[in-house]
Amino acid sequence: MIGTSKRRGSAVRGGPAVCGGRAARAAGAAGRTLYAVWSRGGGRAALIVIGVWTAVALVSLVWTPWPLLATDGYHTWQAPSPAHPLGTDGTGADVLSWLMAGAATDLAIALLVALVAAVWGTLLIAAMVSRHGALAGTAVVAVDALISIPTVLLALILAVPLGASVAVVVCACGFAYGLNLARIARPAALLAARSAYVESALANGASGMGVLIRHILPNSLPVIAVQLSMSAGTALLAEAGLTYLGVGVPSGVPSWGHSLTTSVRFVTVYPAAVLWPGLVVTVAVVALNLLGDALRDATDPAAVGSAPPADAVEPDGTGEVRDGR
Amino acid sequence: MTAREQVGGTPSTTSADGGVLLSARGIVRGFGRGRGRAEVLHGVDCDVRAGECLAIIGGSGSGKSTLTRILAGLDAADAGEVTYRGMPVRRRQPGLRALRRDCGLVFQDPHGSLDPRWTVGRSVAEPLELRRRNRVEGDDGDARDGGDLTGRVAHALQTVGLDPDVFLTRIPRDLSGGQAQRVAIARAIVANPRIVFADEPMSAIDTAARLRILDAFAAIRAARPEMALVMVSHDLGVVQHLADRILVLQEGRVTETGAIAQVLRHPQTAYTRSLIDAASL
Amino acid sequence: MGVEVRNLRITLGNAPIVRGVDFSIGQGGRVGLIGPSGSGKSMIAKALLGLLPSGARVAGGIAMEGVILAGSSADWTTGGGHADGSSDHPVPTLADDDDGLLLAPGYAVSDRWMAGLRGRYVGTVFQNPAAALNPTATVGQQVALPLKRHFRLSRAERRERVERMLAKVGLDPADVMRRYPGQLSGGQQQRVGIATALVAAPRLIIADEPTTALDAVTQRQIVDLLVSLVDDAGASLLFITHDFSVLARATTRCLVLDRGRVVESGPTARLLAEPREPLTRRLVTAARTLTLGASPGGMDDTTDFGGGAA
Repeated sequence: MIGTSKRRGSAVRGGPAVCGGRAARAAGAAGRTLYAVWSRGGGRAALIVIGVWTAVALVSLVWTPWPLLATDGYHTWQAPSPAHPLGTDGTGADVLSWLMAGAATDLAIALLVALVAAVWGTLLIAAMVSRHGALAGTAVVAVDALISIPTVLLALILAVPLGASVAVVVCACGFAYGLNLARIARPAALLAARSAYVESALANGASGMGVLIRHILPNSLPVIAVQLSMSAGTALLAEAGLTYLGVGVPSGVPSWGHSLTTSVRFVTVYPAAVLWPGLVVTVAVVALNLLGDALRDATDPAAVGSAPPADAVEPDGTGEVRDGR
Repeated sequence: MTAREQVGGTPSTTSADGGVLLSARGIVRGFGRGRGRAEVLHGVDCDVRAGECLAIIGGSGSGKSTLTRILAGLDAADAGEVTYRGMPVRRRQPGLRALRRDCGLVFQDPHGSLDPRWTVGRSVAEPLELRRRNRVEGDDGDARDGGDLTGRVAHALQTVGLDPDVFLTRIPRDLSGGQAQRVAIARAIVANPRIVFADEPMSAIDTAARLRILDAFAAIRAARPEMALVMVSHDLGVVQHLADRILVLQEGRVTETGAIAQVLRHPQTAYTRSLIDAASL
Repeated sequence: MGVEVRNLRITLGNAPIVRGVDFSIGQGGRVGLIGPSGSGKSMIAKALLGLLPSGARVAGGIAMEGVILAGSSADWTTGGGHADGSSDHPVPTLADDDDGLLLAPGYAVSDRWMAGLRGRYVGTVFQNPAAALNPTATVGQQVALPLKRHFRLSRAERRERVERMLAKVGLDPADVMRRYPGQLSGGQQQRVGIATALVAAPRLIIADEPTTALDAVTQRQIVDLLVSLVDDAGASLLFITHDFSVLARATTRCLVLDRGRVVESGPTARLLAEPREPLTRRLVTAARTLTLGASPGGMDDTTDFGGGAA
């Protein structure tokens, strides 16, 4: 039943799957994941919103309908009009222009927070699932202790040396969300870290860092992806909150939080003024959460596979069928 | 070729008594501390010779898996010594490095031993890639077909009875338990190990598929007469066709050891007799 | 009057899992259901218990003790359509069964009603005792649960019945009553599982691969224990496994399942001695090859592999 050493061109066919370049493999996986996100309803909506958001942010860097500093004391709190599609704010500046410019700031904040949280969280995960018991134990306790520090308190402390700045938002949120990420992704990472495939890779001479990158992190990816995209969404809300408290984005720098802060005091008089920035933030946060859900489904190995559905039973060269009889 | 011919043909031709490859003396291992400490192995001696198949048999709780992990260098004994080709197997010692390089592992849960995100081809190639990355020069095999990684992966899959054309690009989800276990076996043997440890490789597999796994092991032993195989099982029926020697473990002690035919015909202890009874129809 | 299954079909999503299975288990009968993984044998057990996963659709009829649990009258009046013709049991029809309760196809039997049935008429022994037992309940509480739900007994009566049941499965009640499942060995856990399944004196025991998680010696003990207890109680047994050597000890009749269909059925001894279908032959060969002192090829093959090795 077992074939001799004849090879039916398998060296050619199996080539890329077996030992193809790592970069090509990563690019292929990223493309497949993106496609899988796109092919889900929620994922498609999220990608469209994020695409529009990115485009607007890029455009705002070179063009806005009105200059940001074009204030007009005679035309404050204007209702939407052909000249100002979303009206004007308390200084008579164009609301649409400020929201467009805010899109760039908030996109940067979302990406930076996700990046900081990813790096910091990954370091913590690596420590928590380490095979050195002392390091893992310390990391678990440290995360539990640090996670109890409120993000706002952290931002207020950071604002003492840094003043109100984007850096405060990014550092405070990145730090806090990295801790969250580590705690939430730990079970998945631990499951992979203690699995037989990691054990046999280690027995075959793989390094701790090697199995972390090749096995543990990819298998924690569904959890990490959800948590990071939700963190990016929460960062937008945190930006608005911290800006309102005066420790976030400094005044004069356009951001959605800034637009909310300047209008929220007049909500009883001019409710429409809060509506637009509030709506934009909400849509962005919902899109990021939807992206998270779609990413979780798309990075699940059950969905990544390109193999035929489980029911398609095909006899192979040895006369063997799928259900192993 | 049928299962029976394949299985039946091997043992006598390959039991050429090689030198002792791996040897354990006075192995003691316990878990927990203080009053909660439970000793699992109480001074176990055991030898594995080149080219033989040693079956470690015992019920659950007999310590057979713990012993195997210690033999394979995955766990350290509290007392006693393991030597591989005369070198002590300890942390940061050449003995452990050599054993790591020369051993293949097969675990009980077939799907658990394959990364769910990797194709079969990539999983089977991993030991070769790791050796290449670590620049390990094996004294056989590596030099012979040095660059032909894909070819070796395909050959290993063929040896365990899986067609590379069909299986290379599959992912574990699309394999049955028996197929996944044979992939795990291919992965264990792809780098030409001198010794393969298989911990209950068939207990999570349904009976019909067990025969194919037996076939796979038999084919490997036929193809590599110098390779030692340590197989752990609770079921004498499963190992009867493969094993040359048997080591019966009961509550952390070796109660019986000897050639399989001799143990099956003249069991010395009541425990061994109950194992034989359990495996008879 | 046992269990009748008529043209049972189960689909999960769009995949047909069970494609028309008929069988019956008479009072006191011990029937085996054997097949490779994925053949649908566990799904049939789940259908009998009303524990199918959400998304599963059931068609066809199931009657237990004369109570029709599912199926349209068509499934019962055309009841002669046995694929194997092996049923020795009369087909119950609505007319001759006054107590029969008809539920339209697709009608969801209420969970509570099924739960009542599960404990009183059906007892289940699961594959993995460690997972099937509640880790936070003591053995005493565990075994008492079916009694609590289905019988009005005083505390003392209940305790007495639990103790008697534990003694029957070979455990020392004084020792294990207050222990937690985690403190028991796998074999002891499965004995507790059997005690829980049998304590309410059910008429049908469904054993879904009850021995696969156990070592060979314990497997043998558990099978023998289960069979003797079921026989003593006069209950019926449906034993699901992939291993013929277990069936040989546990059952008198059995059905071989392949991809949701019954491919062969008959007395277990006959199937073991002269399997007709290729799948049955494979399963029998496997069982014999993996057994000491049995010739793998069946009647015509006399090679002895047990002694021939080494």
